[in-house]
Amino acid sequence: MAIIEVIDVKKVYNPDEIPVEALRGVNLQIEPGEFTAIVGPSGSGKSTLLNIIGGLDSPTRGKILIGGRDISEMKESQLIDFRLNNIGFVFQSYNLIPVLTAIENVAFIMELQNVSKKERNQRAMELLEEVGIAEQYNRRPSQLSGGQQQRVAVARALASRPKFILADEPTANLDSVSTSNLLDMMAEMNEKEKATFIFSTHDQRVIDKAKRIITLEDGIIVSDVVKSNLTHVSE
Amino acid sequence: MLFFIAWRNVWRQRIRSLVIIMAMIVGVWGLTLAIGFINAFTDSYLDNIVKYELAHMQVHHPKFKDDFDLKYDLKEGDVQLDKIKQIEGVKGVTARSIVSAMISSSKTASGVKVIGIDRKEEPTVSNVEDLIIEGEYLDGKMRNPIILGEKLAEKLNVKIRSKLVLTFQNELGDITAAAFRVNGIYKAQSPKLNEGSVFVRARDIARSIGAENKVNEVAILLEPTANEDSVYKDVSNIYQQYLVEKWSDIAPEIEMLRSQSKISTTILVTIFMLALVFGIVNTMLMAVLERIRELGMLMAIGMNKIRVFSMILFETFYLGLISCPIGLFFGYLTLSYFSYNGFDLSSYAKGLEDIGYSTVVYPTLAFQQYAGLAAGIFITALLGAMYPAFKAIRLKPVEALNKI
Repeated sequence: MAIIEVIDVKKVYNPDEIPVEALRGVNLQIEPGEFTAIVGPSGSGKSTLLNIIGGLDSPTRGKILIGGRDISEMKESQLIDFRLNNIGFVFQSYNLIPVLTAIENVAFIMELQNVSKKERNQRAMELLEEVGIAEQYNRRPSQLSGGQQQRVAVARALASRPKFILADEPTANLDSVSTSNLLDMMAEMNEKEKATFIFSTHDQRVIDKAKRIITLEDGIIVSDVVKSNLTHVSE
Repeated sequence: MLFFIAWRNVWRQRIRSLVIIMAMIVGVWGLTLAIGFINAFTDSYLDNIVKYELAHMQVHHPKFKDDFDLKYDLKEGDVQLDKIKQIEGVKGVTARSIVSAMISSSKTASGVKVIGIDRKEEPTVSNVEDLIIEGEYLDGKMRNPIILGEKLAEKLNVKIRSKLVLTFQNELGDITAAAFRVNGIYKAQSPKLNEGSVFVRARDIARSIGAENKVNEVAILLEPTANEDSVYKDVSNIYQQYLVEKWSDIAPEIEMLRSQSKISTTILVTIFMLALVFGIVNTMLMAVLERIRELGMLMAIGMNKIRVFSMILFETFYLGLISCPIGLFFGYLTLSYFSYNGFDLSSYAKGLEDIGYSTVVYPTLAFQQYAGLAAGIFITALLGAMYPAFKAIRLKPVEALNKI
């Protein structure tokens, strides 16, 4: 069963002034464990689609079903709780909490879920080990490189045990070595933890690594390619 | 962890936080001093009136105050004094003979209130003895001694041992005169006492008018902790047919002064609190506006609005938690110093004395006032943080995340 179902989603900005159609009837299904890249030129609607899937924005028309629940009908307070427990976010500019250390950043989201201190610290450390940044656990974001910060961001996204992780241009601010390391790490997470990743990206290295590539142009999906070795995704 | 994040957020912009903290410390310190000095002025005025003029309560014949006629006396007034002394909260009590008179020196004459006192009991109520600047109190062997204020002495052009003649009516309405000699000159803050009253021994008045010792006034001084209403009730029971008055009834202008002091304090506190609100709104609004992306991210990953709102309030709370006790502590230290050593206002003394204030004031602040100030500061600071906090929770994550 698909964890994400996008059904005929349309998004129009400024409907009362000069309407801009960002999405024009998008239909999409994402299965658990996918490693999917949504690609397309600037203004094609990638980020809008990701924001709508993440419950950060609402569609003008259509439905978003996550685990069978229509999030487009939810109130804002319900959406905040829903995002906390179901969706992990990785942002282009890392967006870590600057006053917290790496481990605190990862543990923080579990505190929002009322996980006990012992358990959250233990899991935060495990995740930092998995993303390869355990040694820097006590450093603040300003003391980490961009690549290291994005690893912490991935660990944070995984910490709440979400159904899937949305990553909006996660490599846009990284150099090639950091990009390569981050992608390898996320691919490993995808394999080991069966974590579902959905990227919006321009980055060819991400596209190369993705197992499914959805191409958007002018607010509609123009192609949806599943790479041949991804048999487990389409099951 | 919310407390922890809020605490660290306070120190993200160290200089800005220190500026608002310093401003709050100075403000709280200044406010503490200002209220302490307002208290000191009111208390010094009240103290002067109570200690040297009115005492806390007075008993008179109901008609006595109409024309200060000797015939309106308190029958067995002095006999009741022992009963009053037994009342809980009474520190001292004395009987006085009071008469209006014309006082004449070789140079000029003036109308005065002659207060005839009991030398032994009067000091338990009034401290006029402490005000003597020349000569001595009503002691010694001199016949008919009189003490008077510095200003009256200047007006009459008299010195120690100068002769003065008091002319007054006896009970029958006949004019009687008696010679007195200046035994002491005092300097009081109260213009009434300095220019319009003289003190003699009650028995000298009685002898001068050829009558028994008359008691026209019973003055009662209370302990600082006394329950004024309860003492008033007990005294009224003893002197049922007479008029018992509290100082606030005798001199309503003092009560008015106290009310005005309260109003001044309220205005001062309001101005400070308004400044505090604007300071907090400014600081916290800046803190919110420069963190829009971060707040958007927090709400995106699942931090609910109550937590975001609380975080902003906690940050403000910490600003208050640092500055308020320090400001109050400095205020306490400064007030303690001046309440012990006094604050000398002698450069303004002439003006102050003319209106009945002391030249050295002792500012103090009651514990309740410290507590009230602290509570007021925290409540005001948190109210000031409401607007930035509401602004924070009204952010839409998707828009906030895209802010540059």
